[in-house]
Amino acid sequence: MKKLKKYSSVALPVILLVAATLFGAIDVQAQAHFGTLCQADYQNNWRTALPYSWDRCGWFNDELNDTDIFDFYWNLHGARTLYSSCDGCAGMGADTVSLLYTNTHGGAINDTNARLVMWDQNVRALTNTDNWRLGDESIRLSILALYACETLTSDDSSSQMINRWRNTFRGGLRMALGSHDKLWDGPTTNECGEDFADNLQDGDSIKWAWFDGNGDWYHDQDVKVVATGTNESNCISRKNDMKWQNFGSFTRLRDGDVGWFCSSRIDNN
Amino acid sequence: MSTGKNSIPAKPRFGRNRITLLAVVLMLATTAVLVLNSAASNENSEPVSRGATRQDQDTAKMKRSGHSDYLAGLTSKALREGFGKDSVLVLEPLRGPGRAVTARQLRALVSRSDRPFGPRLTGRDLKPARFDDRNTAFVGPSSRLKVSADGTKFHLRGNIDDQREIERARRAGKIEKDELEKLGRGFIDNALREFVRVGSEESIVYLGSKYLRDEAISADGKQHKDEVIANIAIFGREVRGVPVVGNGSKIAVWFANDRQPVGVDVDWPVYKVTQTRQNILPRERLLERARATTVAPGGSDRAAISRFECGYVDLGATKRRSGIQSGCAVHYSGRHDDGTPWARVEYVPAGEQVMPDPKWPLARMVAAGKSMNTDTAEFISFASTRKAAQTRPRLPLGGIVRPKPE
Repeated sequence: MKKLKKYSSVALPVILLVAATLFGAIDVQAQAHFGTLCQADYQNNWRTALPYSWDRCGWFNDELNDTDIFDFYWNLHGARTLYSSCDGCAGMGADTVSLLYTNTHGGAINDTNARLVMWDQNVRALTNTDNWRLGDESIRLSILALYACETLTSDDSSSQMINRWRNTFRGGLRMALGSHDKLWDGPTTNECGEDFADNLQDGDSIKWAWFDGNGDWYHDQDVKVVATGTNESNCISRKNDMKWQNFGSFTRLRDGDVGWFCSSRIDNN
Repeated sequence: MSTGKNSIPAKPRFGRNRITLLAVVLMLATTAVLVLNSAASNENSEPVSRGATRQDQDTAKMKRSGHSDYLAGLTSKALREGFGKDSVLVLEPLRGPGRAVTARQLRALVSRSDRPFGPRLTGRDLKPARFDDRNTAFVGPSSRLKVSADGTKFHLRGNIDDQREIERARRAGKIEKDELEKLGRGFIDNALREFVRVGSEESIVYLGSKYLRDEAISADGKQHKDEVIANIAIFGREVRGVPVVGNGSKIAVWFANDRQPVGVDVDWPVYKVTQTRQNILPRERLLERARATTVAPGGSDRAAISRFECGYVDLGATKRRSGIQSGCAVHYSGRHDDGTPWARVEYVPAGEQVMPDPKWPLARMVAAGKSMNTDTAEFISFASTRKAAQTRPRLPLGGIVRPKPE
């Protein structure tokens, strides 16, 4: 009887150990770095407020932090250079993480730049003027996610869209996620960041994580993703198949490697 | 460590010391067992979670071609009449079936040999993904399913990106709005009848279409393709002739160009009409409340209203609470002086007496007797549950970090 008790006291930890090893083997995945740059109010009210930005970004961080490595969350006070000359600055620059999530106002149409509005009055971060080149410093950015209007528009022309983003992608950036028209700020779209993160964690493709996380059957959410490829089919494959769990296995395309741009978008225009 | 994701060495999840590893593993195992047990026991018992010229011009300018005539008509009606009723009976959303029940039903349906969801919405290879307090997900090589905790909301995606299927369906071309409505209604009536219950005083209304488009351009700009990949029919609900506005009571059915279903989204609770009557503000007072909290219904120099829709406000599965009350959704947008667009939406309560709702900031505010405009710092603080982001340090934390081999 004593022996039996002794065996049972040993058996339980052993069973737990085996179960845990199996559980661990299935569950453990590599983690990636992410950072967040957001703004809700603007200096001297120079731009319309985005009251739900702090929840959208905060909940994005809370969710993705469950599985991956949270590096920073800053507002957009004096943040223009974090996308350009200071993109490799530790603990704040775009290139120091694999995924950068940003929520602010954006624009692009009939302009040579895509722009992100900073808190500072009259200051915008500009893709070409600021010489954005993402994906070639520090950890190297792979995914730039912009909850901002219009930054990926090709309404003026597809060539204009490419010209606004060409130099940014030449650094090796793998995907840009954003909008070709409007992304709405409101009391239900405040969950978009969290839903996007949740979909990434589930193993959805990055494209569908963005579409299903931000898409909405009541509001007129205009979602778009852009990727690059050496040729058309390579571009489509990268756009459709890249996941948060495998993006590192897709070769970085820099400078002359980029032969094609491809995109998907959903709208009701 | 090969990450399969990034060549930067990943932060190890476990320490290297074997004793520490053993302890962590044991803790994980215990936690896993507890979590799984807890999840299994709770799956079925989760509570339900959480006629001015200028107006017409602005609205017409901002109307989207995908909106149905019904949807566009809601704005004209609300601007003209206000809510359009003196009172409504408050709705009570019934407890959902729970995620386990809905997921089981859906997986069984998409796996049936007679394929009620069509050949491209299948569940053969779906495997459980993550489980958290908000939803449960299943992911397969060619399909995905996600179900909300209360089981009233789900989305299912088929092999929308399958290039051979896209090629095969290409010739049929885009599906126009009217045909989409017919296809969508047919799918709801047949394939979705277990998940979309329509009460005797309810009706399904067509809200319009959306399209998934793919574009590819050579870097020199000489080659260019743009095509519709999927066509999406969107539906909503009316209860006793009152539309439900917000994310709740919505259905989207996705069709490939060859008319095969490739996706579906449902957020469809069962409502009980209570005997609690809520009196509605008359038009002028309702518009005044909208103006005070958002923007003048006639628009302003800086903003135009693109949609102004009144009805029952159901903010969707994650925000739905006991007591669905009246309100108006105000969608307003504009362009700043440099052309930068902005877009905001708020739900303005329409009741004379407003029930507080923690997930609906303006209902909470009005119920508390407060008034403020949503474009103010005061409102940002009021509406935010998370802290504002802080300003970064003036100097780089660690200087420029050089790239490591990839």
